[in-house]
Amino acid sequence: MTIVDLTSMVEPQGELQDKINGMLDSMSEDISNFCFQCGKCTSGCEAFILLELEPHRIMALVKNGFIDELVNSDIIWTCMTCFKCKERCPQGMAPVNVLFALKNLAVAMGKQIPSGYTNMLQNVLGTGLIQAPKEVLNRKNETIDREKLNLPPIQRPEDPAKFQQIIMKAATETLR
Amino acid sequence: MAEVLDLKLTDLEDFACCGFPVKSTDSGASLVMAARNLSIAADRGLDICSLCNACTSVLTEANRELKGNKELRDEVNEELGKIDMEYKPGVKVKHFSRILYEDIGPDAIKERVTKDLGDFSFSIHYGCHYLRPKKIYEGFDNPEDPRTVDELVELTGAKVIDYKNRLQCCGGAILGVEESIALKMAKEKLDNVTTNDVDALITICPFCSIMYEDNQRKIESNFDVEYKLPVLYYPQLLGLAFGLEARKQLGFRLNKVRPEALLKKLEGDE
Repeated sequence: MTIVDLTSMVEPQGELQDKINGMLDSMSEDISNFCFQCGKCTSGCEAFILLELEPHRIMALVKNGFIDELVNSDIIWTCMTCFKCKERCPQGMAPVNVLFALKNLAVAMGKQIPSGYTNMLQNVLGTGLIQAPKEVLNRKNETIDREKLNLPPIQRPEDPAKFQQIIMKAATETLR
Repeated sequence: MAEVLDLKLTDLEDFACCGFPVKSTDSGASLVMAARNLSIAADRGLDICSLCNACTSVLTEANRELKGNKELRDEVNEELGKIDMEYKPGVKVKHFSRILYEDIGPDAIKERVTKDLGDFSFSIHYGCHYLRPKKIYEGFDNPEDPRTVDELVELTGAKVIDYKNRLQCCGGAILGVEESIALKMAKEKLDNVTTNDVDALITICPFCSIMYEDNQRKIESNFDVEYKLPVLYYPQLLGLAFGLEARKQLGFRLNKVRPEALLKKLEGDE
């Protein structure tokens, strides 16, 4: 399931394409002006060794207009969001934010995204939490919940419908 | 533990997820969620003490952006207005460790230490979002060579043991995308930490703890290794130094990797 399936029940996304184009324009301008391909981001990237994410290449690809290839690629979803690239870039750029934008774009364009992310979004929309507290069985086959562990209840939106209303709305539009 | 330091913590009713989990899929929704939480705190006249690194970064960043950008604030408030909420600048957001370090201060904490943990040694995992992006944290700690949690651990008398690649990320961000890789990253850290003889790994973020503690057994079976490395959330450690009761008051009964050896060593000290 794509995010568009999740959100399309709210309202049609007429101006989405324009917004995406606007986002792309501002993104590519930043990159062409500043990134000089030193590769410092990639040298410290947490997802480089095991997942072959190369942030400097992402920057070059965006600069050269390979947006469609990127939003269709799995590689953008391997970013660990550790922010080391942003911290270390000598030009003050943030590949991590370019990756956030590319992921957002992929979602807005209705691309297939990793199920882990759709599940998270579904949970958050449904309960207001990334994961609702679960009951578990212990070794003695007893059901254990927070109350039995003397833990206070988890706070969550008191009116889930209201919560969904604003989040769904935001999820169908690209606010930034 | 906070009570010992006269810190009053209140659970905020109606609070929801910070917004970080949906930032990758929709930054706009993430921002609205963060703003909603901030407005709940503002209504109650309270600041936010966050217990998780990612919550800290997302709430701090949203707070900064909304405060400094009126256009964005109006846009977000138009959404919040539909459910009779409004974001107003003024709420402070700080990680619990930062409150300990900055607002309570090492001296005041040291005064309350009643049990010296000098026989213990620990390694620390800071976690990415406690330190980065540096800009949003106003220069608090050094993202390339952090020291604040080292100092907080040393207040208990315990030794801090450095290890290879200590700034490595826990991998939690891709747990739901590439589980095997995430576990491999956590394994690397557990390998590096257990090269030395330490009593536990100290974390300050529950999500990092998920990687090193909740998933430790899975890593052990997947990679055919054995660590049995207890993972403590920093307040648990400080609580021990304050002389609080480990199982009843500090939640040691809930630790997934049994800290029995550590507790036995502690009792032996007395």
